[in-house]
Amino acid sequence: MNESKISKRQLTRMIYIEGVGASGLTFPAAAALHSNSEGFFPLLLYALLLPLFVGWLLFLIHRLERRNPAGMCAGYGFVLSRWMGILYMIRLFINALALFYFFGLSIQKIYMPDASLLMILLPFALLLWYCTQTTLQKRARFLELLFPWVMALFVILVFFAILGLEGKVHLPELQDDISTVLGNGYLLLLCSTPLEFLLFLVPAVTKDIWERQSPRELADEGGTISVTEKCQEGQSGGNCVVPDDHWWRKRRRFVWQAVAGVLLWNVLLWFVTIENLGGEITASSPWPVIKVMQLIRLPGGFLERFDILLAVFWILCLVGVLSGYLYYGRKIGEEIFGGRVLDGRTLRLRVSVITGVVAVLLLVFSCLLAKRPDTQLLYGFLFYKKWIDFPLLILLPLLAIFFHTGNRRKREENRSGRRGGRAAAFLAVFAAAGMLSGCAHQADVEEKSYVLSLYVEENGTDYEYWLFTADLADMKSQEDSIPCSTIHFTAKDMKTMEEKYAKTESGILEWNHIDTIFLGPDLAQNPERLDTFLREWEASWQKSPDVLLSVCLQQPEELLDIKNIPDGAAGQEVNRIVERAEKGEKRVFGWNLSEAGDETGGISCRTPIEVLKAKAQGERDIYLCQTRVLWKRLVVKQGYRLPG
Amino acid sequence: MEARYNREQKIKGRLQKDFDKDYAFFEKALERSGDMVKNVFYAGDEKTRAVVIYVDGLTDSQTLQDFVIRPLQETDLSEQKERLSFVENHVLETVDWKDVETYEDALTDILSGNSLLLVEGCEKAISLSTKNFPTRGVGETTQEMVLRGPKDSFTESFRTNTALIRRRIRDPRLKMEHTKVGERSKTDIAICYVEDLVEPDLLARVKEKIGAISLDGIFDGGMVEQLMEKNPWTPFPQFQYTERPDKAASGLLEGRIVLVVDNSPGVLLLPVTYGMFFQSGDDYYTRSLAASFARVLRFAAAIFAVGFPGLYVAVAGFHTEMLPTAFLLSVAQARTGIVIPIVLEVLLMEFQFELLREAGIHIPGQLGGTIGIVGGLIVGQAAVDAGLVSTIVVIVVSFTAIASFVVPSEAFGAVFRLLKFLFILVAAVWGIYGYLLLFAALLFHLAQLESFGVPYMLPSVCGGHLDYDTRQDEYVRYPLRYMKKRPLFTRVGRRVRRRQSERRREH
Repeated sequence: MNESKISKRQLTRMIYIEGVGASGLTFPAAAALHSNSEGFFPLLLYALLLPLFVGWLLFLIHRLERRNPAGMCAGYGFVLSRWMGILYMIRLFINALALFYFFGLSIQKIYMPDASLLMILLPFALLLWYCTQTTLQKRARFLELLFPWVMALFVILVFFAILGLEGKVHLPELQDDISTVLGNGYLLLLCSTPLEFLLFLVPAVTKDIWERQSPRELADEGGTISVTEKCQEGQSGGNCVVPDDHWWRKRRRFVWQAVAGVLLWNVLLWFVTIENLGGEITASSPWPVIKVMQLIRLPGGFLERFDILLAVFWILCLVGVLSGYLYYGRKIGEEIFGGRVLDGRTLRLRVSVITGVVAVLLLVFSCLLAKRPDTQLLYGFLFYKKWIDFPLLILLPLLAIFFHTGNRRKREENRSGRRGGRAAAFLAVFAAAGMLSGCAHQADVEEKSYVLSLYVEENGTDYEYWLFTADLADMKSQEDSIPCSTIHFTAKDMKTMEEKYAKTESGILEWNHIDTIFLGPDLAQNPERLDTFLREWEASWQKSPDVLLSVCLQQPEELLDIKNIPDGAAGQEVNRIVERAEKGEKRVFGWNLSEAGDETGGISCRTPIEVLKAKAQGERDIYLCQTRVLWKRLVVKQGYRLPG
Repeated sequence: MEARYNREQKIKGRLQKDFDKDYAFFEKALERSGDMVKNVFYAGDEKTRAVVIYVDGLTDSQTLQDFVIRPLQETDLSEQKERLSFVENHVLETVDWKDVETYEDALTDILSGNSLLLVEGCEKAISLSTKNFPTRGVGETTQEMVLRGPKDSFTESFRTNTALIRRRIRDPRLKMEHTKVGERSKTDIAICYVEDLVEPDLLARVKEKIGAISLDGIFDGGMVEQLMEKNPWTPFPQFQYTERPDKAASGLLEGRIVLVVDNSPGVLLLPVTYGMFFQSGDDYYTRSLAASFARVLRFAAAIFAVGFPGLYVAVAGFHTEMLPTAFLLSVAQARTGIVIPIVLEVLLMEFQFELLREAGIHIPGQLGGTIGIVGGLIVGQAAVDAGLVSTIVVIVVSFTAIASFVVPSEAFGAVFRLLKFLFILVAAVWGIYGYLLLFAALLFHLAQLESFGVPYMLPSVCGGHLDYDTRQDEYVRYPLRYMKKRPLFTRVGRRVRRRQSERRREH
């Protein structure tokens, strides 16, 4: 099998993963960024720019193949001059570094807040290094294997998100000014820049990957055959002839099909996100699709949160894209500096070491960057991407057409590569083991304090927090309500409160299973303070976004003494009552169902994100449910209007 | 005369056409070997000496006596000028013989169970096929049991194994090329293939690899497998080992090569793809829907066997937010009082399970099953009662154990059990994140693997150029009438399995 060729199915699958994988989850945020609307027009512009971008790439590939068929057949790096190749490698490295760093940061914020960035990125760097030790054909096989998993998760994601809409779809807002449309449309296009890998992939597509032997086999049989010789030989009768128009049109069709898929994929992500979250929350969250998944609840409740599915989707896509940046960088490096590795079995020491050094550099730079403010880095990278990287991406292949170079000599193969690779792997594993030896502070499941409800009240510049945490010792099986312990703190925000908790109590607070937040009377009457509290809640990835908000005008002590339910279980009971009521009424987010309300009576909200969404939409009549304790019994009613 | 060996441990020298010298050589070479029989006698003319040399226990001495020694003793050889030809064509009453000229061949034949006849005045020795090994009869397969279909299995006897294959494919194009491997053991090995179905390049490569095997002793196909495989560090088997003659025959008809190794109660099939390890013997003998369901079940079981304990560790340690509150709190409550962390708890139970499995293999007969029950039920329950482990972990480990045995191939199932530990450790450190990275690394590794040039993950990879419909025999099995083509590794031009006219008649 030819190790430097790929099949048409491999091409389309690689385009899917590389076209969406890098930024699929932030794509909707880019559409709505700096915007008063939901990004419909930027999306339209993207739908226009993407085919232009791909068309430009195809045009360049076609011209390069005509101009230098042997070079393109051997690899894109062979048509680049040395300085162009170096420029490419720098570009690919910076892109890889940015993705690598922001990926680590995202994982840290969303899933592993207690782990250090080094700890998170170390295994990823090792994996990336491992993924560069391969050939194009085997890399294509890897992405082919990833594809069904990525696709299945994407379908589940879209399906669940559409379910989450509960049949309610609205037309997107159309208020963008021209500069926002242009800016965001360009930003969306930048999300799809890994499509530049088409330059490597399209010339490598072959009609039959089984047709020819690998370069290694040819070399084994006939001594040393260099890439150059092979291609020149091919020119006169083998695979490397100038591709005929029919075959070119066929390859072009595969590309367009895949790009149409990428477009559809991205539009679907945008649609489900905007419909679920609205424009403002989408624009303010770096990972709005994950937020959508956090909000989804399915009947039966076999999983509390679904965003972990997104983690699978995202990590697998990122492995595909990031390994691509490094792999193609390595390929160009080999092609411009010293021939190339013949196939995966004969990896050279040099390649292993250099790619290992690149992985270490990614790790070191990421740890250094972690000390700088995130937003500064993000905007810095966006600036670079907009004004330097993308123009270079567009122009470098064009320059390659005008300043094309001849093929390069193949250098002698160094057969000690495997040993070097193993030594490097051993060192990396050893280093990882050393670093991991002090990381056993992860709390076990029984060591956490599960907050099941929270009472918040304003107290001057501070907040009063009453935490109701599950009391595992008093818990009995087959009981609906779980007894809770109550802890009281005064702090200026949630973060400070959690720090205080960490100092005074054992265990770690776990917020993902909270049922109800009771808002005290003063807080409920102070829109600014309430807004601050809700925003802090919504910004944290470790706090359940699906918690019920209820106003309670009585003191928290009264919630402790309720008939027929254990101590501190009032929040659970309130949540249950509301759920039962909703099932009966089939409540849909949006319209007030209080006895006084009608379809013009404002918005009835249940969760912090719904309140924020309503406020973002300019709604002044926002209603929450209200909990009262009457004769030691809980009474929940809808229709408490929050002051505007 | 001393036997002298070359670098490849082969005896140098040819027979010297001198009875005394040659006999002296064999005497010397086989001295201090109590199981050797050297029977010197005279032919009917009472002048011509002859000797029969064989290994006691490996040879049918009665046949030798009746059909070789007795006729020779009754024949006058003194007048015969072409003595060797005369003996072979007019004296010996056995049909299976051959001439040998070198000491190496002569001694190898003797030690393989043949008898060597040396007649004075003959320029060559005669090797007589009089093998009669003490062997186990053809029994039922123990590792690849099926509900429907043939139950016979390969044995340790080389010839029985080749016969079991030949019995199933009565086609002269089925070839069995014999060779020997192992410099001292000189183990017989047969390369079986169907001449017009096998890919010539593949066959040449296999022959080359077998020729390159250099080890003093080969005692099982497993050793051949390890010496021939391309990637010795991967846990995944790159050959398919089977005890079932029908599976071997079926492989041959797909253009694959079967290696029959003497003393091995199974044969090796190559090349192999991952899907073949999920195919059971009776998949093709039962209804396609039932077979497909079983196959899907096996794939699911494989995923569980590798990942379930690791997933539990990741979720319980890092991602409790995924679990419903009531379930999570009951898990947390069950763990209250258990002093060891979750990861150690799972590792402890998995380790206990592996111990039981290993013990079950080595303890004879019925006791093995008893040990499993005692270990699984009593020790597990005692561990829960003692507060060493929680009930949920016992459930997780038991479920994983059952899943790991659903995979029909033991060699492949063992990989899952091994990888499971890796997933547990990674999940303990990095949670779902690490778990997924390891999963990606595993996919990458599988994407790199090849078995004799065929991608291991075929047809999940390299689709589009396969020239056969991948869906018909991968995750599900279509009815046989729809499986018209042979897989990719069959020779080009021979991929059609069913005749066109036959298909037309059905429609």
